[in-house]
Parts: sequence; structure tokens; C-alpha cells
Amino acid sequence: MARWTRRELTSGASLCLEMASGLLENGAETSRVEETVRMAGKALGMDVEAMVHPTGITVGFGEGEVITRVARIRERTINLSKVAELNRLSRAMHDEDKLDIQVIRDKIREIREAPSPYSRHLELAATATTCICLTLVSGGGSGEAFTAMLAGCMTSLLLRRFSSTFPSFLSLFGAGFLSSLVGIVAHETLGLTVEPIVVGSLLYLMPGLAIVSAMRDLMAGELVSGNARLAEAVVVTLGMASGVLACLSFAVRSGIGS
Amino acid sequence: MTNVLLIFVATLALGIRFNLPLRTLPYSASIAAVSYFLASWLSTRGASPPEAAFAGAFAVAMISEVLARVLKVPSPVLSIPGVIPLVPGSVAYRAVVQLVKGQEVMGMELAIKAALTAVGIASGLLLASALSRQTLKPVFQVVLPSEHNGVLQEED
Repeated sequence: MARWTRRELTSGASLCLEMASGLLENGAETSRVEETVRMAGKALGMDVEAMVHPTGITVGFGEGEVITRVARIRERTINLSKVAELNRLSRAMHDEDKLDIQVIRDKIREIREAPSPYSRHLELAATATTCICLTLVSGGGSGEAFTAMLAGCMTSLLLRRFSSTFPSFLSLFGAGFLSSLVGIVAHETLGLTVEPIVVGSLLYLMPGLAIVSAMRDLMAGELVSGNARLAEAVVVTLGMASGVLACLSFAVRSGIGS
Repeated sequence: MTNVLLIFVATLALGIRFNLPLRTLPYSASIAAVSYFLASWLSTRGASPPEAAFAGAFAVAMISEVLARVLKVPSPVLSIPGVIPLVPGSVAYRAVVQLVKGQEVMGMELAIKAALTAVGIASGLLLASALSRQTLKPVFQVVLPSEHNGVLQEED
């Protein structure tokens, strides 16, 4: 491929960095992000080396005259359909003969700024459905399932409200506390079993993505990111568990609950 | 059997929460239901909870790796909802209850059981992703000959 001018190199570097940020902030594993940056660089015909952490990206470009770009990822969400779309885009870059960097950058921006594919109401309905099903699976009856649905919706709204202002540990603590409180109140007033309510309404908050990507990163040799993701999973679980613990110990001290 | 159906619906809804693409939702829910069925079948045949969780998580990750290459999506898109039903929520809850009541020995026993099940899930996922990284590559080059090497690497 022809030599790149400095201008093109800069904009290619921005392309790779934008794609990597898009992947990372929507919940891709770091091994996938590094791989994608390397492949994108290859498709552009540039020498690229990327160093990706769960909270930041460093990309180095070119030979001789080197460009290094750094991006810090502060907010991460889970939106795997965007990851899938960006992945498809980077694969499409390979199949094209002539690449227009600007067009691809526009596409990346479009994907990154697109709203989530499901509306908030649908998400809440999905949470309710999940809670009902998981409560029934963990041994609850219809009364328990209904209560767990209420508790799940409440924790979901709580997290949506507070996750941007409070550290995640604190809001998860609140979620654990709230759902066991609902369980104990239901036990006291309606005589329902607490266990399936709490389990069913909290299971959907389990850090499935963190666990899966931690294991995949560890096996890809990404020791730093793997351990970081593992720590994330542990913190999330501990937050919920300590919320439940706090609420139950109040209940036991005052002689109510199971 | 009803439980398997419930797990299917639950993971379908979980997929919406995780913002998974609409077209892969049925696949991820089916993967979750199949592996949950496998895990519960194994435990009726006398497998301990960690063993059942190991088998379930391995099935989730392995089927996802294979299907991800066919559907050309990142494999976590398929595997993430499937992990959630295997999490030992009830055991962990009982452990917390016993600890609160001052029954430390009982509580620790249950907590260790829950932790072992979690380790079972983790090692199932580890084994599957380790196998898929190198071992599966030649297999896929035979099965899906249209893929060229570079693209295949990116998809794992």
C-alpha cells in the first residue's frame, strides 16, 4: 500500500482509537479490542501496536514517524449489540479494497451514538419477566414470584436512578438491602418464603459479563485485564451480599423474618 | 422440564437487559436452556453442585464459541445470559442467613459450597475458552473453508 501522509496517518490513528473506545465502553473484552485494533491497522496498511486496559487504551502508529494516542474510558455500559456491530464493521474493512477513512469514522460514530435497541419500558418489563421466572425456578410459588417481580422492578429503578451519582458498590448494596426488605415485609404480612424472593430478584444483577470476559481475558494471556474484571465481579457480588446481610441482621435483631 | 422452559424465558428477557442484538436472542436463550437442562440432569444422576455447574458452564461457553463462528458474532453475545441461571443464589442466601443467625459453622459450610460452585462455573468457562483459542481453529478451517485466517482470529 502507498505511503501515508501525516494527515492520513493521524486520521487512521483516530479511526482505530474510536473503534477501540467504542468496543471497550460497550463491554468488549480487552483481548478482542486489541485484536480489532491490530486488524483495523492491517486493513489500513499501517503498523499498529495497541495496549488496552479495562479503563484505558494506548495506540501507537506508524514506522519512523510515530503517532501515539491515548484514550481514557471512564464510563462503561453493557451494550453487546454495539460490540457486535463494530465487530462486523471491522470485518467489513478487510473485504473492501479501497478504504475511505472518513466514511468508516462516520459509521463508527453512528454506531457509538445510536440509542440502545430496546426502550426503557421494555427493559423494565424484561427485568420483571426475568425475576418471575428465576423465582419460580428457585422454588417459589406465584405469590413469591409476584413479590420478586415488584422487588426486581424497584431495584432496577433504584440502580437506574443512582448508578450515575453513587459508586456501584453503594447502589448494589442498596439493591440487596431493598430486595431483602421487600422479602421480609412480604413474609411478615403475607407469610411468603423469603429465600426465593431475594434470590429471584437479585440473580439478574449477577455480573455475568464480567465473569465471562475475565475468563476469556485470562485465557488470552491478558493477566492484568483478567484480574481487573475478576475484581469487578467480586465487588458487585460483595455489594449485593452485604446489602442482604445488613437487612437480614436488622431483621434477626428485631426478631422478625425467617 | 417446566424449569427449562422458565430458564429459556428468563434468559430471553435477560438478553434484553444486556442489550444483546435481537437476532441472536433466541440462540443465547436456547444455549442457556440446554446447559441448564444438562446441569440439572447431571445433578439428578448424582453429580455434586460444583460438578454440575462446571458441566453447565462448559456447555454454555463451548456451544457459544462454535455458534459464534457460524453466526459471525462475538461469542460473549451468546454466552452471557447462560451463565446467570447456574449461579448458586439459593446456597449463598442460606449461607448469609446462617451467618446472621450466629451459626458460623453452618454458614461457612454453605458459603464454601457456594464458592465451590462458583469455581466450577469459572473453570468450565476457562476450559472452554482455552480449548477454543487454539484447538478449534483447524477444525473451523475445515468446516468453514470460506473463512480466511485473519477473520477467524478476530471472531473468537
